[in-house]
Amino acid sequence: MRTRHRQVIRRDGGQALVFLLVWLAALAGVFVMVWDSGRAAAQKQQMLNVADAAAYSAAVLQARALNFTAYTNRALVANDAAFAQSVSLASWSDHMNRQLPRLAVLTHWLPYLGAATSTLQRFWRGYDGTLQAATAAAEAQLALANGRLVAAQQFMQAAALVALRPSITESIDLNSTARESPARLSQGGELLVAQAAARIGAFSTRYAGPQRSRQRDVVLAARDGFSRRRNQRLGSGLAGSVFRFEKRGGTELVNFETWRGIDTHSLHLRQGVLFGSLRERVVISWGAASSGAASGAIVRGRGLYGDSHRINPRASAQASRILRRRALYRGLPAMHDLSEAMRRDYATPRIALRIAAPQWQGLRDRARSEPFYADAAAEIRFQRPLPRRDGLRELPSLYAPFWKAALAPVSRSERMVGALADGAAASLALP
Amino acid sequence: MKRAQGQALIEALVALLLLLPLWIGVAYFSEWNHADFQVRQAARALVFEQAAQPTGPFLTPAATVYLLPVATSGFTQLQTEHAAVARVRVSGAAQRLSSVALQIAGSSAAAVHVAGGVLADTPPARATVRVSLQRQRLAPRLAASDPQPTLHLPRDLQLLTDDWSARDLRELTARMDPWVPTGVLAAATAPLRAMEPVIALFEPAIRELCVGRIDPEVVPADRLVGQQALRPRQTC
Repeated sequence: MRTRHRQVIRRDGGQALVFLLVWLAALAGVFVMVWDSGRAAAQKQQMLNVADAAAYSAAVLQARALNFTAYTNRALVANDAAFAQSVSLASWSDHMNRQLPRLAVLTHWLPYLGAATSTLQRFWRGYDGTLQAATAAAEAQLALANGRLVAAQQFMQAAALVALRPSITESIDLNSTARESPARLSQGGELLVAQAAARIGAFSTRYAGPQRSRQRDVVLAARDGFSRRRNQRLGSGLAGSVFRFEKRGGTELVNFETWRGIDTHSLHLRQGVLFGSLRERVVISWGAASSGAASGAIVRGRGLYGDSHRINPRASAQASRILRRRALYRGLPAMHDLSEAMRRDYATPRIALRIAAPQWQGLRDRARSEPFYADAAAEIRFQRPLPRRDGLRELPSLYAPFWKAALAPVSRSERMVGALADGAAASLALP
Repeated sequence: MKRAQGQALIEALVALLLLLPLWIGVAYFSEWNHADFQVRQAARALVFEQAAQPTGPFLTPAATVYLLPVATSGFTQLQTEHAAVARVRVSGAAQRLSSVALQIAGSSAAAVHVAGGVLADTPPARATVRVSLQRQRLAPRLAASDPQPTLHLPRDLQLLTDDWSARDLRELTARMDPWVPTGVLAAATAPLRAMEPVIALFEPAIRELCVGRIDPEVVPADRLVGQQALRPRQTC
């Protein structure tokens, strides 16, 4: 009995060692798995960084293009408003040049006032020549600047669209640190980028030809008070019932092609001094200037040119006869703005992409393992930094440079489209 | 044989006593690790989103997406801080295109400035995010600790990540000014400015002459909605 017991004890010898070895092997396996998973997680994290950087980079480029369009649009509007100022100054100075000599004759016998008017008249004779030459030079400069701005805007719009995919692939290359398994746009990523390009292409349109009424309204609203209306009425109360001095003037854009300014000044009297209605009886002075195509027909609409044609018809007719024409203005430029569809149903421009890279090899067979995928999306949002001063809410447009690039969550549909195109399970992509 | 009875039970209890804290610890650590990961992701999002506007709001949309799960997690208290470093290398294509467009438009100085940004080696951006979470009854609250998250952004990187968005109306005007050549017109109207009180007797509208300037808020009328509170005066 004792002998059998000894034999059993002897058979147990070295059992702990076997257990220990088994444990050590299991522990080593766990360590390797943890290390392997850690490397895989690190690779996924790195890929997410790359995808984010690429999406953000592309969004920065597109935001720049939209902001550049907005700056150039505003500059074009400002240049057109400057054209209106130039034509206004030429017309008004011409009118002053006719008015001051008549005023000097009338005030000749009045002490001080006569001398002052006479001095002003002499000064104006010289100044008008200088001002006319300066406005011509300014218009030549403005026309040149407008040509360059239109070309730059068209270049940026076209180039930003063409450069969308190259900017993404370049950014992926720049941000990839894993040289042995570099990330690239997956098939699903290519599809998402193509979709983004199509959306961005349809986002804006060029308003040219008769469609320029859109920018015409902006330009006309941007004119300063001097260009809009140069009206003054002298004669009120009892005197106003007998006579009235009516000064009328303004500058308008005719048929998108010509800026035309008219200034008139007339004395309004009653028929036989006391009877009848006050009407233009004595034409005092007039002036007119235009810049642009010579064939622009004169439009005598109510309210145009400070209502000069209606209030001072004879003086306006005189002004039209002596119109100083210049051909420096080349017409209202074509400008980019949101397409009609976007103005109706606005959707924030968005770039989604999906990248793929061979999985960290580790203990697995690299050839058989699925590649890793990472999705990212970025938006170009319209964000006014401050509310408008007039209390109105401003909708997105390409006249305000408040476009900002920002990362955005990847939508479920984008994730699905990318995964289906790659033939991979959607769950493989990182959130 | 009698002495061995119940031994397995005791051994199992002892093992459980050791393993249970381990399991709880692993579960807690897993959740904490997830929250920590989300905070790190939020920091990364901030690096991108605040790059162009370092003074912008703390909780940008993408950062919020990452931080919301932290706010609704099971933690009653969580203090975590991350100094996220993200390599943001924006494609050079953006810089080259921008440079060419600026040259066509006629601002060579700005083009050189941007081109300089392409050549510069850009160090990584760094954003530090501190999240302090204190759960009150049924009212989870997420707050950025004081001071606000800091974003150390090298100047070169600012240049690369600048989307050219105007920060205010003054910047808007300053950026388009080089493309509005009204120097000659301004010089020619200088005598009018000097004699404005006298000229205004003949032409009151001369006071409203504003050479080369437009209302910085003018946009197409169909892009404005709401009731106009007040009519802004044009400033020159």
